[in-house]
Amino acid sequence: MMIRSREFRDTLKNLAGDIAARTPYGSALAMSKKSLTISIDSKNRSIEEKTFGSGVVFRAFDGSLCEEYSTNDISINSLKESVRSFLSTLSISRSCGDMPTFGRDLPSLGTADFETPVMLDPRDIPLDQKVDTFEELKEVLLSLDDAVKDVRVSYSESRETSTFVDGKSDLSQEIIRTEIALVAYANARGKTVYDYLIHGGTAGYEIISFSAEDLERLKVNLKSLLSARFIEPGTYPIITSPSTTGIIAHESFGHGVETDLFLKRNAKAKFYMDKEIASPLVVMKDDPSLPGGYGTYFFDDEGIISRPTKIIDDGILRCGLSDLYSARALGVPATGNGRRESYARKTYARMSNTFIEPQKATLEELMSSAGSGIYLESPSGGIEDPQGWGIQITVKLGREFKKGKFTGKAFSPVAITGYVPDLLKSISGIGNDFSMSSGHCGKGYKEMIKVGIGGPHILARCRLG
Amino acid sequence: MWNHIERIAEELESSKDISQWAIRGAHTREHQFFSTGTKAEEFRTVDSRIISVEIFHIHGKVQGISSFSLQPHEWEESRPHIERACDYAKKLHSNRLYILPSQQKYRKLSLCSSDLKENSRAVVDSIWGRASKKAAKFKNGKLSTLELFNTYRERYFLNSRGCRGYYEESQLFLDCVVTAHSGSVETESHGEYTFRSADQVKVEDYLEQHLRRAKDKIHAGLPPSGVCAVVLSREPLPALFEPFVYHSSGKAFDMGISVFRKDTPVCRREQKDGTPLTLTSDPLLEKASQSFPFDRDGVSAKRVTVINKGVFTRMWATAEYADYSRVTPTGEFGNYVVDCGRHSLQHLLSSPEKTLHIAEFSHFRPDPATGDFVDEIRLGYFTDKGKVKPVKGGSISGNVFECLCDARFSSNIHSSGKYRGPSAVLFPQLTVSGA
Repeated sequence: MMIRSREFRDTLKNLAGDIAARTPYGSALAMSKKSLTISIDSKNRSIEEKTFGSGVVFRAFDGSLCEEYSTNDISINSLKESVRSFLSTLSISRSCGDMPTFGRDLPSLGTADFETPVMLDPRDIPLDQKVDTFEELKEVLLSLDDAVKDVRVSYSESRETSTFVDGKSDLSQEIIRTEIALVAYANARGKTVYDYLIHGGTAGYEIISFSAEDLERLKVNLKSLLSARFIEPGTYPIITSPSTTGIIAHESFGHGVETDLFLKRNAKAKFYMDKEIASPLVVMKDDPSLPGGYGTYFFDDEGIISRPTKIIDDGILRCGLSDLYSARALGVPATGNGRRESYARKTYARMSNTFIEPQKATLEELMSSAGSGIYLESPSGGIEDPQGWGIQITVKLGREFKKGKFTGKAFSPVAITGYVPDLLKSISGIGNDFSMSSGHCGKGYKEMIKVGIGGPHILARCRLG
Repeated sequence: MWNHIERIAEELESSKDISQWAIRGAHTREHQFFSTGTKAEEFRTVDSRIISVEIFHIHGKVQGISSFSLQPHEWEESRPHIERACDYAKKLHSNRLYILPSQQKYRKLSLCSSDLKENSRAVVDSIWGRASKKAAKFKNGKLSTLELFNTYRERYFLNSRGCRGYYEESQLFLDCVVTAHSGSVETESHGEYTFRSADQVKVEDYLEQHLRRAKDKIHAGLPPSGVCAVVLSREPLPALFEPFVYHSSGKAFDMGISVFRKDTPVCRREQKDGTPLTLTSDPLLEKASQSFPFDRDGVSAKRVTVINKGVFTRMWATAEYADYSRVTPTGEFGNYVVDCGRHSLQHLLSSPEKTLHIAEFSHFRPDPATGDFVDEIRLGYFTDKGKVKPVKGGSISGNVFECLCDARFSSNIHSSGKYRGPSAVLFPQLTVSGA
């Protein structure tokens, strides 16, 4: 079933119309995710083809209460039956809700179709060629060091197709995401460590390449991890790698400005709009339209066209990230950040590609300016605290530097903890480099979606443990 | 769904290129509810059916493996998917050979409650009603959000060696956030709970507990930096044992990265005063969340003790890794059952030394491979000379294989989700990064 076909879209349009005839607003979203994953380790290889998370969501909404019916049985007859069943159980009606005219003021987008531009369509690369390439990468990883005991090359290419229809819009998009991860496990003196390299984005097979520098860094990091100790707790000058910078952005005023949390009164940022919450050097954005970003899309899961949002401008908190429900309730524009894990889950206000913008300093200048400190890289996770503005980011590796040079001392794992505005206000230098990484983000501990994170190197000061 | 599975099985059997195969089916029906404060925000109904197929192409002493999944509208057109999967598997025939499990008997487990299955929406409405009634009585606090996922699922399994299994299960997941306020200060406490039946749900108690925690956070400051006794209780405990589960797996041994050796202590130092760890995989506990009569390979579920009194006794292994190691498969790891210790919770908390009792972390998650942890404290209680004060922020750090050597387990049991074990664990000396 091609969910972008005219016949399918017309069916959805009619069914969304049936819902709208009974309620203030009706829409339908069809999602299809097809992926091919290839996994190769030192002993095995596997290929999996998935139609994962494909289905249709029918929505009725009165501006106050939302009701949805989701199914992955997307034959036209089944969908008609699903909507009949949905309508029979709806509690929303045309006359109920606090905004019975909801939907009339939504943008009219007409019909539009979008596709990710790629240099090398993964479908055009023969499977044998892919497998051979990944086998070569596996051998390179295994030969990195005697301590390397196992390695894994994980590749995925996915096509996420969606169609959104309501009374005013008829949109479709096909997003191509490609990602490759190299993981190396080393074991020595009864200690097991691992590190990774990841390339991913809304892009084609062109992203499948690792430089000799990348691989050398992985080798050096594994050796460092094997000899690493816990850091003495305390406050240190830090320089963060671009992916660590991205996690700081993501966990601080990425999650902190998701406006559904404003509505639930568990996000402090609501009370700090237009106030200084970061160093004046900081410009932070979320941009679902960023070309190549892993979290890039053309329209969100509620039919809002994607566009960049400047969250922090020169250290001043300016704008939140909203889904339709919270935007409506708060009286702010929907920013196109309504996203769901799959057809089976609810839409929340979510991030897309979140990053700090680069400035002028080189990495050498940042290290020289800091004098001594810890360089933090290989982030392994973070967690948000939009109410308390606490922050926890864990990195696999911290490397000590003094007088602008690495001393060879390594620490692992290292956690950044503290109060978000303290951390962001302590930023005293921002690099002139910029790179984005692929990541997966949960709301709390669930609702996983694909996001991009990134930025330049930054110099700050914070508590490490 | 059996009709479709059997028809696909016939197609698989008729293919000369397929040496063995496994089919898994799942039909999920779910009612979901979401609130914003004490106002209903959204009701959702989800119905999904999926059939996943795994095929094996054996070529001498090696094999290729490939898999695919089918949605209902594809069930009648499985042939092209099978042919493509065969092509893939043939291209990959360098994998080690392992043979799928043969026909076996499955225990009957009662994993489905009739209330969650038959009255799905009514159960959700009832819990929401109780929660909003409770929250309406809060003083200096509010329900920020409540989410309920009531899931009924049927699982099907069939393979080429005669394994055939079916079971149904119900599960209710509750996620809540409660806020407290004092002047301009507002704090929150978050909780997640999983149940097998509606009568397990004590929603009023959970909301009360999280209100209390949120209120304690209002006056909490950073804990002092240094080394002190640390007690972890309840929610973080399952994660504490993840590295032990990981390193006792057939997969970790096969990868050559397990730090355990048979009949050897799992702690890195000699264990003196600590409670020796006894860790058991038990997928047969009917009220626990990680229970199943058979695992994804069709291996019959069984209780297996992997670490006994601090000594690694045997690995747990799925069909694949058991075959590589020439041992009997135990199936996937089930619920985490940890033997309790001799000390009462009160005794653990009444240490004469400075003690930090941590009730909530931002996300306590020791790295399964390395055992290292460094995690932020969301709420704790620091006791010094008998005085208790709430703390938040800062972090604790260590390595589970090191620090469990001296750990003492409570005699009180805690049962929640996939965990059955001591309700608290005391570490006599852990590093705290705070003020």
